[in-house]
Formats: sequence, C-alpha cells, structure tokens
Amino acid sequence: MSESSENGRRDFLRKGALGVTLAAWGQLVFSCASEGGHDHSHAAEEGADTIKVLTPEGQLVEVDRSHLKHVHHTQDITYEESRTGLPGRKFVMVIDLARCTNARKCVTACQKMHHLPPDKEWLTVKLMKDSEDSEPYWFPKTCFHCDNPPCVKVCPVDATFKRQDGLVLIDNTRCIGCKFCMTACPYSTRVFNWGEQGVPADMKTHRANAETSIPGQVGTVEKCDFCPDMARMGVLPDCVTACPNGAFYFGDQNEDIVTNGSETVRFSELIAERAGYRYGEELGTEPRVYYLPPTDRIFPAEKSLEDMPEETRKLYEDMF
Amino acid sequence: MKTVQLNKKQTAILQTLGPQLEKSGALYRLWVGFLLLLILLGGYGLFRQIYIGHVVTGMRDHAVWGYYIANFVYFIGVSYGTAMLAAILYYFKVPWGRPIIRISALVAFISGIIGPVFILLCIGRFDRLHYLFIHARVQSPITWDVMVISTYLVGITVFTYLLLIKDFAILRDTSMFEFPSWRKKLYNALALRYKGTPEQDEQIGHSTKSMAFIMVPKVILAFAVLSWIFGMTLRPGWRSSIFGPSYVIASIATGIALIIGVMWVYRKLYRLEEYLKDEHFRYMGLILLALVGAFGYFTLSEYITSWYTSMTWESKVTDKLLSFKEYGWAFHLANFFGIILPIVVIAIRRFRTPTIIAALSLLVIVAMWVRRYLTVVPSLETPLLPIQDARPEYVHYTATWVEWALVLAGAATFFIFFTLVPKLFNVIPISDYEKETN
Amino acid sequence: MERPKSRYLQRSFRFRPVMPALLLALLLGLFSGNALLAQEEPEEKEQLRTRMSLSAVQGSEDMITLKALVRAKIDDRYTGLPGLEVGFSSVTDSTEQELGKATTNQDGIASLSLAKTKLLADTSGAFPLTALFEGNDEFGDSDDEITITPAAITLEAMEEDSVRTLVATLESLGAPVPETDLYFYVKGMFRPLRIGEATTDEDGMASVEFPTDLPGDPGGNLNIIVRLEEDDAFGTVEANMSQAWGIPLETMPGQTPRELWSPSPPLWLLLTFIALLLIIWGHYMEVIYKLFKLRKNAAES
Ligand code: SF4
Ligand code: SF4
Repeated sequence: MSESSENGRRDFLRKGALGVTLAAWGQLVFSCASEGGHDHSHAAEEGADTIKVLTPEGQLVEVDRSHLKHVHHTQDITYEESRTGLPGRKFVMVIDLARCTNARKCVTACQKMHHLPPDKEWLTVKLMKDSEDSEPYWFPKTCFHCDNPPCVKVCPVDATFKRQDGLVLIDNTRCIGCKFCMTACPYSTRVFNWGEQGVPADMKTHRANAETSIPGQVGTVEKCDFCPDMARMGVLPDCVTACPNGAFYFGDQNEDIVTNGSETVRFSELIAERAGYRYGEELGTEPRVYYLPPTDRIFPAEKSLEDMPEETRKLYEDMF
Repeated sequence: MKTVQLNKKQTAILQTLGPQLEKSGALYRLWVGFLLLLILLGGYGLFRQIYIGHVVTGMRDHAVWGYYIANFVYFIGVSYGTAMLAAILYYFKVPWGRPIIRISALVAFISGIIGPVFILLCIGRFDRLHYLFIHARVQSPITWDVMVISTYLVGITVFTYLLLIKDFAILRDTSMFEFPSWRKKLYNALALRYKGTPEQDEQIGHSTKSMAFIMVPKVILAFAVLSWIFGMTLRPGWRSSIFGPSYVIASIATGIALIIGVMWVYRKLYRLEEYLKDEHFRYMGLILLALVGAFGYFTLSEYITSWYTSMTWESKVTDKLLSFKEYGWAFHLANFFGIILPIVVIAIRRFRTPTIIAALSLLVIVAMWVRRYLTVVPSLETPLLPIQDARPEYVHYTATWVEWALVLAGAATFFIFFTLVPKLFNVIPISDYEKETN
Repeated sequence: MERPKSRYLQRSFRFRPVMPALLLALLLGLFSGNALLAQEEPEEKEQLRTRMSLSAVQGSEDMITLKALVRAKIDDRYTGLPGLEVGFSSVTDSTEQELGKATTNQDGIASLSLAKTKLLADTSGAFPLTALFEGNDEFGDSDDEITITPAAITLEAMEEDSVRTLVATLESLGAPVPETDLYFYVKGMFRPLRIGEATTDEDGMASVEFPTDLPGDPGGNLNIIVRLEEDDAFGTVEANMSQAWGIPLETMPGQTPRELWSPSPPLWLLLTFIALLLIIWGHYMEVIYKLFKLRKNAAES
C-alpha cells in the first residue's frame, strides 16, 4: 500500500503543472535521501539506483544517488542519548522578522529534510498584523521548544519530552496519538500524521529515533525538532541555511553564540540591541525562540504575495 | 432449601413484568436488528479508521478533537451524573426514589461503558494503548482520567450489581416462569446464594450503602478530572474556572433527562403507571428545572464575562458562538430548547405531566449534546495564531460519515442495552417492596 | 576509452612552463573547455560537468590541510558532490609527487592533512599543489591548482592587570609578515565567533583585547583561533589554543527535576495520586470481599 501511495505521489508531482524541474526535484527528494546515510556500502549495494537530475543545459542526466547529498545523514545514537540530549548545550533560535520576505525556502528545506508531503509544514510562515493600522509582516514559526512546555506537561506516556539541551522532541515510537499535546500547545505547532504519508520505501528501514523524527508514523504527532541530528554533527538546521535572507539565527545559549550561517554574533547582544522578544510571553511557556521586531523591513509584506497563486493570496486578503 | 418469599405486591410486579422476561415480539426483533445494523455500520467505520488512519474522520490539525470527544464527555458525564443521583437517592433513602435508583444506575453503567469507547476512538494508535499504564506519567490529566475512569467503572459496576442481587435471587426462586436452563443457571450464579436472611440483607445493605457513600466524592473527583482535560490547556473557552462546575451541572441535568426518557418509555411499554407514578416525573422534572436553571446561570456567567471584557483570544471564541454566521444558530437554539424552554414550561404546574416532561427531556438531551460539541470544536478552531490554511477542512471541522456512524453506533448501544435489560431482569426492583403491605 | 586521452591532454597542457596569465585563462576556461570536450565525444553527454576548487589551510606544527571542493550545477545551484575520490599531488617544474587520495564528504569536500615536509617546494620555497577528480560514468573530470607559500602563526595569551590580550605573530620562511589582517575567533558549536581583528606590524605581530564576559565550558575553557583568511600567497593560515578565559558554565544537575514537564512528577502529586487510588481501591476490595463472604456464609448455613 505504501509502495503504491508513493508512486501515486510521484505521479501527482509529475502531472502537476509544476513542470519538469519540480518533477526532477521531487524525485530527488523522494528517492535520494535514502537509508538515513548510515554508510556508503549500503548505497553501493544498490548501485543500480540512480536518479535523474537536471543539468544546466536542461538535460536529464542519470546519477548514482550515493553521489548526491544525503538529505538526512545521521549518526547512530542510543535511545538514552536521544532522550537526554547533547551534553552542555542549550539551543536557542532568533528569528529576524525584519528580514523575512516569505521566500518560503525554510519551509521547503524543512519538508525536504524530513520527507514531508508538500502540504505538511512543520515550519510555517504566517502573515501577522498586530493591530488595525499597523503594517502586516511575515512571521516564520518553528516549534518554540518552550522551557515550560504545556505540550510536555500533558503527555500521558512520556512520548514528548524536554531534553537537557532544551529541545522538546517526540518519540514517535512511543506516542499513542491522543493529540492532547496538540490542544495544549498554544502555538499550533504540532501536526498529526492523519494517514500514511508517502515515505520512500527505503526510508522505512531507517531506525526511528526521537532525534531524526523520521520515518513518520501514522497516528502519531510530529513537529519541528530543530534538527538535533544535524546539530550533533555540528551542522546547522536546514531552515537556517536555506533562508536567502539570513533571517534565522541558531546556536547554543550556553556559548552565547548564534549564527545564521554567514553572520555569527553573540546571542545576548543581538537580543539586547534589537529588542528581541518571545512570542506569547504572557502565556508563561517560556519559548526558546526569540523574535527581532519587524522594523526596517526589506520589503513590505505584500510584495512577496505578488507571485503567489490566487488561492494563497486569498488567504491574506483581509490583512491589507 | 430456603428460598426468597414474595409478598402480594411483589408477585404483582413480577406478573406485570413477566411477559417481557419471557418472550419477545416481531417488532421487538426488528428494532434490535435495526440497532445492531447501526452498530455494525459503526464497526465498519472503525475498521476503516484503523486501517486507513484518522484521515477518514473530519479531524485535522486544528480541530484535533471532534464528535468523538464531544460524545465521550457527553456519555461519561451522563454516567457520572446518574451515578451520583443513584447514590444520593440510595444513601438518603429518598422515599420516592426507589424505582428510579435502578434505572439511574443502569444509565450510569451503560453510559460509563460507551463514553470511554469514544475517547479510545480518538486515539491514533490502538496498538499502544497499554503504554498508558506501563509508561504512565502522573502529571498528565489523561493519566488521571484513565485511573479515575477505570476505578469509577469498577465502582459503578459493583454498585449496580449490589442493587440487583436480591432480584436475581427472586428470579432464581420464582416458579412463575418457564426459563430456559441457561437463564436459571445465570440467575443462580448472579444471586450469590442470597436466601433473604436478615444477616445477608444487612450485609448487602451495608455494602451498597458504603458504595453509595463513596460514590459521591468519587464522582466529584471524576468530574473534576474530566473537566481538567480541557481546563489544563491554554485554550479560551476551556481554561475557565466555571468549566468544571458548569460541566457537572449540565451532565447531571442530561442524566436526569435521560432517566426521565427511559422511565417514560418503560412506563408506556410495560404499563408501569403504578410504580413509575406521575409524581416521579414531577419530582424529576423539578430537579431538571433546578439543574437546567443553574446551567443557564453558569452559561450566562461564563459568556457574558468574556463578551463584556475584551481579551482578544477569548472573545474570538465567544464571538464565534454568538455570531449567526458561525455557531450562533446552534448555540442559541441549544440554549433556548435546552435551558429556557424547559425552565418556562416546567415552572408552570399545569404542564408537569409525564409526557410533557419527557418531551422536554428529549430537548435537553439533544441540546446538551450540542453544547458539548460547542465547547470542544469552536475553541479548537480558534488558535492563538491565525490558521491561514488553503485547505478548508483544516480550517473548519466537519464530521465525516465515519464519525456519524460511530456516534450513532454509540446511541444504538445505549438503546440496545435498555431494550435488552427488561429481558434479563425486572426494571422495577421487586425486592424494594418486601416491606410493603397490601 | 576516450577519457584517459582527454585527461592526458589536460595534464600535458598543465606541464608546460607555468605562466600566470595562461593559468588564469585555464582556470576560467576550464568549465567551457569541459563542455567542448563533451561535445566532441557523444557518449560523454550523459556526464554532469563538475567544478573543483582547491584550497589549503596551514595549521600549527607544520601541518597543512588540503581541501578540494567538487561541485556540480544541479537545479541552477552549485551543489557539493559526496563520495567522489580526489587525488592530490605536489608538482614542480621537474617532478610530480602523489600526496594521497581522499573522498569527498557530505558537502563535497575532500580533505587531506599532512606535514609540510612532504611537499615539494619550488625555487621560491612555495608549494605548487594540484587536485584532480578523474571523473566517472556520471561526472566529468575537474581539477584545480594552487601555490602556497609556507607561513605559520604563533598565538600567545597574555594577562596584565586583568586586561587580557591575544598576541599573534605571522611568519613566512623565517621572516615576519607585516601589513596583514588577522582575525581572532572563539570556537562555537556551529560557527566561530569573531572577537577582533588586527593588522600585523613590521614584526609580524598583531594583538587584540579579549572580552571578559564570554561563557566557557564547565572549566571556563575557550578555544581561541587566529586566522589569516584565504590569502593569495598563503592560503588560510591558522593557529589555535585553549585558554581558561571564559566564565565557567554552571554544570547542570545530573538528574531531571521533578516538574510538571519532566518525566518525574512532583512528589506531592505522586503521593496524592497514589493515596487516592489506594483509598478507593481499598474500599472496593472490602466490598468485594464481603460479597464473597456472603456467598460463603450462605453455603455454610
Ligand atoms: S511551541 Fe508548542 S509544541 Fe513547541 S514546545 Fe512550545 S508548547 Fe510545545
Ligand atoms: S499525542 Fe503523543 S505526544 Fe502528544 S500527548 Fe498524546 S501520546 Fe503524548
């Protein structure tokens, strides 16, 4: 059944009016990634497994997939490690609202990284408008990895938990799917796996652990995890590196260093200088994500809607 | 061997109820068949839900709970409410309460079974249900609820059974009917060798009384814990201090309405006018009036405060309930038929006839269900951050046929239970009339 | 069959006397040159053209790390290609010496660390280096070459009257290198944090004041890096040291706290929970026990 749903998804992508490029990318996303990158020998065994990529001249070239970037390369860690976290770390994120133009590169990078179908977003970009006369602005929203997480409080089976490094993760082999955490999170962060999603067949052999969040399991809850498997290897989360405007800063609060990939700054200074704040402070959830106010924006918020499809624009009609 | 002796009154009751115990007609079979069909349909829906996943329901990432949870809180609330009523009537030996206690306990028992089934339906992974015990986290209101509900279920089962032992003994000993042998064996086993000795009477009486006594705090606790499933979240419309009390009152009112309904049907079907008298309906009607009135007051108090003040998130939910473009019709109609109309009608002495009260009860039963739905769904559809989703099913919850089928199956289970019960034992407790002189 | 030939052509071209202008032309033309070759040989059309950039990092203790980034343009973006073998060699006018091979990592970088003594120097004392990816069925070949002049930085930490200063000295072939920008960093989990920059004086020395409020590890240790970045002659030159100049990180208590959000519940909650269950279930037991007794008593009488 999963096999056919996967094919179905591919067909859908192919048929979609999105053109050859997306089809090629779609295949790359869905068939590349593979085996969680434990070792190359595994990939070598499947030597015949090739994928088509688009050359700059517009030709489709077949390439052995072991030679393309593994989307989710992970280290093997123990169950204990996945529950306690990276020793001595306290992850923190700062999102510069002034820089967000709703380019949505973070969203797609996250989806690609976690094998999410196109309509499932762990990271969303909302259009916000604080009051009648104020200007709307784009608001990228990850999980806030709250220090007083209401979602974790209510979990009956310890499936979602807070680690010592500050991350709130979900063990989707433990989650019973009661959705209580979804009602408890005031930031609509969590999403449910309502039905089988087209996880590539070879992804299913990947040993699930709370750090990678994949493969997703039907009937359980998922959410943004701050890519701790990448952090373990010293690599920034994909949303951070994907943002063309450098709106996401990520780092370790214990070191007091955050970086958006190109600029590396002290967390405390950044927050102090730009009047950083946490969303929904009055709820007492103590988020680990800070926002820098949308002053001196690069573009007005409407700008990024111009190229969007009609139905997307309709969503925001009454905001302008 | 000593057997339970019946006096004239008791024999009369047994004679009245006898035909139901012995045989069933074609219409009866048709009705049971219809109910079974509904349950089967629900079973098919459930099968699809398990096989395909929760996509077959109307629940999505914002309204993660829907009909199932509404039904769950409805039935379990009814169960708590009727259990409390039965316990109080029993404990204080309310003279007119005797024939009602049994029906009340039976409503509590069956709703207590149906309710939890619906919370299970809402769970994504049936295969991991045992995690609730082996990985239990004491901080979670769900853990509290799992413990409280299972504890309560044992309690209400024992209590209901205690109320029935003497009658099982009567059925075992009577020579009035020709029961098939399996039924004789069943009565024999269920009667626990009760012989009607004063010693045994005292023992049963004492046990029942202590069960009734502990039932009240237990039910209050259970009510509280259940309302905390909602109250412990940061959702407007849920996290309010009146949520619990309001829920308790609404549930007891619904329970009473259901008891009135069952009483009315039994009275009509089995001609029990002599036992379920007009005054029973009058008293129950007055209790209903008081409870519905209190619920009306709580409702007003809850929504007028959030309407008058202006907390943004909270008023968004209230506005949805009041606006006729959203849930206004459902909300106002439910309040009119479930609160205002019953109060006005029952307040007029002339209207306190069994049929009118039963009809009002029916309105209350439906209206309270709507109100349950309106506490669950609008709050979920109103998150703090704007939804901004192009998929309409993610913005508005609409139940699918699977959910309808299962909700109907739940109702059918309730009906089938009350259809089958008079076949197994007498709904009017014969043993209660043992001291009755002719 | 054809490919070795084409590689030979490229290589023999490189073996001609090195003239800077020609080299530049080669580097610029490498990409299009490959395309030309691909057009000549139809069976190579299926290959994806690659591009290589070679760089070197000179570290302390005479070590040098060669880094070759192999990329291809996929979906209009240059993407690093993992799992490809790159050969490094040291090449002078007269000799060529293989240094070793390395496979590209996830980001498409193959790196090789070795002692500078293994490298061949040209007449000026610099190291001419090349890296070559030979190409395979899918990817076209590519190469790059650089010439690195040996250099080293020595880093010293000094504290005087609670003013902390970092002093770095840049030397090349035994002589100080003046007028060069050096950057000072503290190592971070993902990226290093720049704490200062300074230009070397005629003694090759540059110094910066070190901030006092940086958090360190539990021992207060910080990893300090000084770097000359991507210099035309020297490549990247760096030195690092560990210094206990940070504010010690308060170590977290080992066990998880008893909180609503932690795995272990607050004690009062746990006790209340258990007490309530015990009371109610105890009561049930009593009632059920009595029912059994009822049955037994009846049997006896
Ligand atoms: S944002 Fe929501 S899901 Fe994330 S930690 Fe906070 S409450 Fe939990
Ligand atoms: S849905 Fe899963 S993670 Fe969320 S509260 Fe229930 S068991 Fe815990």
